Amino acid sequence: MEEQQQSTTQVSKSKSGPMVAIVGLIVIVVVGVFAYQNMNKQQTQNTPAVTEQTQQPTQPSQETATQPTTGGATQAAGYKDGTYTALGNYTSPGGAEELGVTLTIAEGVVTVSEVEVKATRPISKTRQTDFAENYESQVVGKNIDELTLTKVSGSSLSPKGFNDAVEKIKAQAQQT
Amino acid sequence: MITFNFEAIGTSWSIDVLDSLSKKSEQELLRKIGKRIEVFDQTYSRFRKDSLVMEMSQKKGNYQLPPDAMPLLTLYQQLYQLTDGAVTPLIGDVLSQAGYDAEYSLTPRTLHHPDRWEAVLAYTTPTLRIKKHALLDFGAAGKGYLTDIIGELMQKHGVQNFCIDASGDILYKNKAHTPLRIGLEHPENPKQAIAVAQITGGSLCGSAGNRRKWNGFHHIINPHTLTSPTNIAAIWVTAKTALLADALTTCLFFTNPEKLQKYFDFDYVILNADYTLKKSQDFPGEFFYN
Repeated sequence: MEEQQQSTTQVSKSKSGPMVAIVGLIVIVVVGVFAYQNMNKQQTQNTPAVTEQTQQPTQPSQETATQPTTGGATQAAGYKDGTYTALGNYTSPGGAEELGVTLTIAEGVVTVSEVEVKATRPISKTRQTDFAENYESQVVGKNIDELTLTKVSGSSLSPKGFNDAVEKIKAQAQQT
Repeated sequence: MITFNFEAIGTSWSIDVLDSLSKKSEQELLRKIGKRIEVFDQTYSRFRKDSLVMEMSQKKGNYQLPPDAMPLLTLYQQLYQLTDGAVTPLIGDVLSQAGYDAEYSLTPRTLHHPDRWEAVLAYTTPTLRIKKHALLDFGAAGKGYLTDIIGELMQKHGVQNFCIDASGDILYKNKAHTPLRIGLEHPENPKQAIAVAQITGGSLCGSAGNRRKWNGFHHIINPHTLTSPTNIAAIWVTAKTALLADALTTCLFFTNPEKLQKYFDFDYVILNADYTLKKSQDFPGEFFYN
């Protein structure tokens, strides 16, 4: 889970200027949910039976979360399944701006996240649009033997000579 | 249908011939393919002592390149401009210094920034002038280009439906446009895919730093920083030709896709090191999210 939080932060590093503020907000929302999701996971792992969760997730002060607009009411612990929309406020160099963020939660897992452009100033609008288009959640792997595939594409298989050389270096490293 | 499986230019190949040929014609085709690869390798490989590239690295002067050099050199020239020198055939010396040399020493020595294109090369079809010692490397696009060349050879042989898989760089021709389902390999787990791409023709090429890596380097080195990019785990590109698709996977390690899209027709997926994605809207695939 730490890894996920770190990687979310990495997203913000790659952006610059006013984007940082926007990304910062997303990071707060996402990390908040991830952190909570992690708590749920740990709890599920430790105690198979679902226990009553009394602690409420910390809400970032800048956002105003609405109640779930869709989804069922399955409540393993804490967050209910559903779609959560939050409105973020930040100050761009031109003044106050808003950004909409939507997270869908199913069984404690964030499945979809959308970013809605709310900016009114042209520059902010461009930046938010750019961010909205490029913001994606993390992908995961599925077992290849469970997929019907004709081909697989990744990095090229290495020649035997290369692999032998790598093995040799590894062996040397172990000796020293 | 018959499949030719073989090793060439340092990787494994699998060619599906989807049309039916006589046994004799199949053998003839395989022989032609082998011969063509040999000619290509003997020209462009920096891993064999008898290649033209090796000869050029030892002696300055004017070299008459074979006719197939023009698309390759022209594209390299254009990409050099578009990537501010990040994609360059002059990376050969740097890769070699990093240990990715003909002997696979994998022992990095001191790395030196490569010279600028103009300082070393002057290309006027069909002549390449080598002004200064330089070991050229065509690894960014060579395999894709060879894939196209084999595709052309197969078509000339009368095969209209085929799939050439040069270890993940794929060229597919199918008159019926039957979709080809290609798993995009998870960079840390070759038993998994992060997506299934579907193409009905053309090329899909991939590049990742997970297999050919050593001492903090992989097969792509930034000539400006002399390090291998670590912010990106893998890139896939679909385009009409494998030459373009292969070349653009390397370009995208250095240059934003929006810039390249002004000049080339392609779709892409960039898998960042943190497993977030950036992809073009029309990339033909289904992606797996949490």
